[in-house]
Amino acid sequence: MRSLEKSATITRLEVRPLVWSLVIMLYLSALIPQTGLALTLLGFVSFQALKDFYTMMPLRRSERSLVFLGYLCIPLQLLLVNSQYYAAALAFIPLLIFGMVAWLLACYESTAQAFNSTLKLGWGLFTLVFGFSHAGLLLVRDSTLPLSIVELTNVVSGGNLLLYLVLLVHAQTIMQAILLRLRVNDWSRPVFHASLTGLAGVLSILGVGILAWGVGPWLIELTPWQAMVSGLLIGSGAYLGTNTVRAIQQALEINETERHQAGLGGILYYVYPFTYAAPLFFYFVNLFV
Amino acid sequence: MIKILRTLFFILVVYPIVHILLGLNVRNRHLLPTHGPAILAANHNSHLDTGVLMALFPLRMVSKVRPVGATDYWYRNRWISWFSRNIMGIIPIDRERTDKDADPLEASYAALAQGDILIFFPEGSRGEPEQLSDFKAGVTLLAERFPEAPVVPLFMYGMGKAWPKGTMLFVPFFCHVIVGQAMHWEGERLGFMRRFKAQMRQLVAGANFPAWQ
Repeated sequence: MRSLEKSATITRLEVRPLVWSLVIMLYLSALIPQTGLALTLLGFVSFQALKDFYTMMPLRRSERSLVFLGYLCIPLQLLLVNSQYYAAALAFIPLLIFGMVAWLLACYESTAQAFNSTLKLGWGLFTLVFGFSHAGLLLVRDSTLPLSIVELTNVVSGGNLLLYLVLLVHAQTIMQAILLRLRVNDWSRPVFHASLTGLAGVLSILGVGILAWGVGPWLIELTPWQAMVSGLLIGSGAYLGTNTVRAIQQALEINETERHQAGLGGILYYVYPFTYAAPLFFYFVNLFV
Repeated sequence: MIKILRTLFFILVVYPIVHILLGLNVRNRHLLPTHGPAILAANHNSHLDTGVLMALFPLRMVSKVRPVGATDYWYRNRWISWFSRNIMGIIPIDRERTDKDADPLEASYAALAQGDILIFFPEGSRGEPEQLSDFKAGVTLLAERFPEAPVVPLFMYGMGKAWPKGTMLFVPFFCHVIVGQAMHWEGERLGFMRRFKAQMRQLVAGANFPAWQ
């Protein structure tokens, strides 16, 4: 028994470097000045997360080629982001999923299987490629765009916006994890409890709002109130993202003690919060671009 | 020169494909042998299996890790033969028994005698993705001839999804390798094979991976 516990701990530690290297890449993408390199790092993170998601999903052999198509969408989407062709970047994945993929599947599969496959494959694409690419859209944001909901000076770079997002999302996930563990008083294993998760979620979102109130004016020159609203939005998005991964894992009956293992959702806990928080923050900064 | 080429091949091709593009999750890594002679006995579903198993070991050990591969596949023409022999270090096994008098495992015995770690696929050939096939007697014969060499059972999952037999399309998925407890020869062939099968079934049952239909 002791040997089994030891091996489980070793396995968890072995996959941590991969997960943490992706977190470091997120910070680096905000800090390095070359946009192309920063977008490449974001693309790599998106690829690893999508791979984690598709590994977790019960897929059929006939869906392999569509998974491959999904991976191909990452560089294509980031090319559109890099070109600052916003309309195309915002339409590419939704059109691909609900147009081409659904149509292709309906041609070769039964209708029920086509719906099932579109949902599984499309969900990964929609969140981990399309949603996550909003982090890239923040990075290349043109500060002279009209109709911005908040006033940002030209001094504020896309890198600062992305760094602000990464900091706050990371803060939310850490706060939620600490609050849960403090309440349950068990630091040795992951915690899953519906009401406690809700309480920890509310407290962590408020915490992120307060943190944003302090950091926002300094990092991206928002007014304190704008910063607090953006913090609450980012915190809520991150909370939704984390709990969506949990919901998917529970629906798939994946062993909770294995949540940090690559291929079983370990990476998703760190990347998925961005898939909700990045679009929310992007539209807060550029409403109806 | 050959050593440099092999080192470059593993640094630039094998390790990046296995650890970055594919992604590997190894359970019970501490049960892997640290020196030869030893026999790694794994299920076989994919083109990737051999590379993944070699990539479990550090670069300094790669030359001592020798996969056993079918002559009709790994030595099918001049170029592939050169690559198999010099870069991958494949030990040929004549599964078609072209020479009825020769022992197909002779080269494997020689490798174990010089202290190598053998990668052996007891199923004989790549089977259906993510499913165990019947095991052949080869692993028992190796264990009998080299009772001092531990037989380490491994169950691999995911490679059959990423690159199964009969397709050229490589689709990255995270892959899993579960290392079992080392087994030793106890003097009886049937009993050894029974224990080996039981160990493999136990590894499969403990894996609890999503279905691949």
